[in-house]
Amino acid sequence: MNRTLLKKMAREIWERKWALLALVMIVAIGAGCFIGMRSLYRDMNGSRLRYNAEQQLADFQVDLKRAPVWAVEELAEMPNVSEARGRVSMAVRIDIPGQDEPVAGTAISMPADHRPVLNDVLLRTGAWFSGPDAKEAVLNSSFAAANKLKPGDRLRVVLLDRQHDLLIVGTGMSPEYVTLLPPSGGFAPDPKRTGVMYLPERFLQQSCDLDGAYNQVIGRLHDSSDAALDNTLKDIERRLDEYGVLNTTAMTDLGSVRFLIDEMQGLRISSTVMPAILLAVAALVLNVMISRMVIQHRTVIGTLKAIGYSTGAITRHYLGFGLAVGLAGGVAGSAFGVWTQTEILAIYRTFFDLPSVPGHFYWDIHLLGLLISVLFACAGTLKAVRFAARLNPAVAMRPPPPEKAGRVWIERIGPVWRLFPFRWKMIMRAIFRNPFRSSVSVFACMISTALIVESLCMVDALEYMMDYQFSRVMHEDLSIALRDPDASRAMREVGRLNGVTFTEAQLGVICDLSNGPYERRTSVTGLPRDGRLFTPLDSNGASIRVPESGLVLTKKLAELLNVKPGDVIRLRPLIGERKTVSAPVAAVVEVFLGLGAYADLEYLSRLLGEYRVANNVLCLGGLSGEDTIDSALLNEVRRRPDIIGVGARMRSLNQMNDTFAENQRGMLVALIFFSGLIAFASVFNTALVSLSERRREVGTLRVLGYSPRQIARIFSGESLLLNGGGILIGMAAGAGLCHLLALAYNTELYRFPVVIYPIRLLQSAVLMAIFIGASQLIIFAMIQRLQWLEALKIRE
Amino acid sequence: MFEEDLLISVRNASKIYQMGEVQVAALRDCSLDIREGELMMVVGPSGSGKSTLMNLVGGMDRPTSGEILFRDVDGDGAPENLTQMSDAKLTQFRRQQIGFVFQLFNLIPSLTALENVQVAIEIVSDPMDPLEALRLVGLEDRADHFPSQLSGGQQQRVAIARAIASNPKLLLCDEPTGALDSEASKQLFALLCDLNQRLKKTIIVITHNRAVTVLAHRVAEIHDGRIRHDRINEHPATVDEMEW
Repeated sequence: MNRTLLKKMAREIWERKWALLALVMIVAIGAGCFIGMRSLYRDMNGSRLRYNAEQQLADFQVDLKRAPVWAVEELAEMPNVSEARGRVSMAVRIDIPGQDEPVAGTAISMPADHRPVLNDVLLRTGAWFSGPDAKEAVLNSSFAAANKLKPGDRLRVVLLDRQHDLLIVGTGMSPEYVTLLPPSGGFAPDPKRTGVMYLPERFLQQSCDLDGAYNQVIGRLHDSSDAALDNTLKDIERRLDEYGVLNTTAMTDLGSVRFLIDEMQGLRISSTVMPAILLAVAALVLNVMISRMVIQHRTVIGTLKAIGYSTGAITRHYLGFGLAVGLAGGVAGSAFGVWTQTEILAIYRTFFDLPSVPGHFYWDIHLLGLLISVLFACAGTLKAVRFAARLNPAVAMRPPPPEKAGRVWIERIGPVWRLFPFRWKMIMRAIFRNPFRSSVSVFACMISTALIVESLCMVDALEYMMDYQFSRVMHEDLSIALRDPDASRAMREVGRLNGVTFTEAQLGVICDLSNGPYERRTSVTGLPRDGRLFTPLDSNGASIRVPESGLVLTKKLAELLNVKPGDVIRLRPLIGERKTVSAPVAAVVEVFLGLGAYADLEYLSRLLGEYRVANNVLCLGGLSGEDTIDSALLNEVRRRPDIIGVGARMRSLNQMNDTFAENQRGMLVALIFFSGLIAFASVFNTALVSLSERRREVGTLRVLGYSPRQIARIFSGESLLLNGGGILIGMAAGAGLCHLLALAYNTELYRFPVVIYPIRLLQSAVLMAIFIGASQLIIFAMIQRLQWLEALKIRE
Repeated sequence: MFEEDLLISVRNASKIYQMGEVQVAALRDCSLDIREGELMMVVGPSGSGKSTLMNLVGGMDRPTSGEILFRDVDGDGAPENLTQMSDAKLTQFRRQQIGFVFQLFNLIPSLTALENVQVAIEIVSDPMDPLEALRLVGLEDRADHFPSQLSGGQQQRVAIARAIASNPKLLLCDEPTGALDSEASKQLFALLCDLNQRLKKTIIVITHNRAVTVLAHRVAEIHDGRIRHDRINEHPATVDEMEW
């Protein structure tokens, strides 16, 4: 394009600066989302994979009662196993000086010489153990930071039934704990109450009565594909059966590892879907706008062709408008992308423990973002450009053929048509004569509304989910975890703890469930008959009675096992006598967290070869505030090594609320802003185009004595009809989007309910009305300023 | 046969437009020779086919039948047939050989007077200085004005500057005074005569105003798509002698 045409383009862009700016912003946000999220993905996934490789994250983990060292060493000779390491992993209770509440945690053995091993610990501060018998600990660095612990501090740890005073020598991190999810599960990491510590191997073995033995094996495979992993784990389980295999897990299924993997998958999907929606809207609106401009430029195009400009030159010139929008949007998108990347990275750093997440500037992603913006924007101008390119100069010099002014379809329904007042007839004709433009308006409005509805409903879904779990299913004040399933003695003693007024037993057992080829290993919770403190609900919200024999499965688990109520499945607990029994599926319930199953406490106890045991006690009372545990109770707990953890329900709920509220609010504001921008830009642009097309009509109406307000009512009527339609469809689309997201988030870790309150639909409509109203006000101002006498003289 | 001083020869050209289901013949079997250095006027009432003729001669459109020959004076002198040129060749032809002046000026509103001239010369190899072109039409002091800041007469003069700036062989003016008052029209014709005499430009003016034909070397009358008269004016009058 030569300099003069560039000047022409620059001035014509300037004339349309506000309309184009709105479009550039949509493109910028689209490109920014793409660039930011892709960069973030590369940052995070790169660090994750590097971290896993450097610290040699294992492929699997086998929990067992007790396996001799040589049995573990022999595993390395199995065909697909490249490396195996035995270790001790023990649930512990940690008493932190100056802190009332004990923390439930895990102690993991590490070689005293700090040679590289599987699931290695990257030392962040301090030093490694001084010797194999040293009573020293290296703490998980996030746990240490959350509790303000540092090398040189001491803490008391209850291992089995003995209390040990340990010196903290260092802090470190390991990829198996990239998120510190509380052992009870949950949607958010809780580093303050999730203790992970590493102890010298021999010391931990001796303290846990595991001399010369391990209770956990981790290992790496040559072929770690899903099928090979499954087969190898089965082989290992058979081989180690005599040592009491309690559980086998793929490392990627470990909650703390899975959480990050799921988040990365979500990020990848979002980095495509959001930008695609935004850029598509921008392209459509640009199409409407540039098409109009080219029609206005009919004579100019003809003149340029007449004086010798080639079709190629004209094509390049009008493609230039798309190019300009794409480039400006892409460049602004780069900046917005860096901002997005930095902001989300800051949130991620609080969620995920990675040694270093660089936050790099990735040229290729930024270039790709720019390219995508340009492509979308140019695609948006293609229709107009084709019109300009095909325009014959001789034809372009003649006045355009009179506008299509046939009857629109609705006019053919005579009785209906006659009912419309004159103003509405004009409005209807304007809408139906430009079906494409009208569709773009409706579409953009629909997208904006759907995004708002979806963002509001996601907040509700989260709240609903938390309320469901923490208020309707769980009713206890405290839950006290016992180290081992215990008979009634421990129960009675817990009942006598300070402030406790009522107790109820619970038994959690890891079991293998199978139905033909479908199998799953999961935790089965034994509940007392007529229990009051934990009441699983069915999907209608009614309490489910746990049958005397058989299981109640969560919906997701039932799906995975392909069973329905009435079917019979095979059940084998991994502790106790480990007998396989047939168990009928009594009911299927909706639960949002984890893959659980429920059974009668005594039924489950019998499967373990006991009469009635529990390893978790739910209590009423024992609090000294809404979510503060009574300190006298805590003192008593401290003296009891068989209690490994105390948790307050309200504390967990508040903690989750805090974590989510902050991130959710930011996301919500951003999404509403984006939606508003889409609505504003599309409404403003289409109204502008409509106004420019009908300048002569406006002029005529002014001559006839219409006031600007009366004319504005015609335009706002058109907008009302199109955008009102868009909002209505958008509400339905938003509800559909909620269902889609619920499907997308239907993972084994958690499920999202579909929660759509009518008030949210109303709020979305009101927000949209505000955005649309704002653009209408500007259009009104333009009608008032329109040089209507001039408009009458214009020949187009 | 292509005589020495011929610039363009229209031979038996017809143009038929398909308007929905009816065919409209805008030109029927027209023949016309234009010689170098001539100031020629084509007169006829509206709808007579004047503009269609101009579109064909200017390479903006192709005849349905017949041919249009053009002698490239700077080339080998052999006549070229416009009807057989590709779109790209026709574009090239318009760019190098033709200067257009339209009834409604057709200036680009977002460009200044100077830039409206520049837009034409940026794509040709041996153009005039754009300021010189504006000086020739007497508007060098209006170079930085946008079309909306100029009177109709001034706008048309900018259009003429644009048309001559690319040094075309032929200036095609379609009702150049159609949108001007009589005073501006007189000035414009004076300018065209001047360009014809001083720069030896071949000029075709299409008009429905018979009064101005006294200025031309040759006058072709067109009616219902046919050329009725094609006469030579031995003694062209000056603008001052012309009765408006």
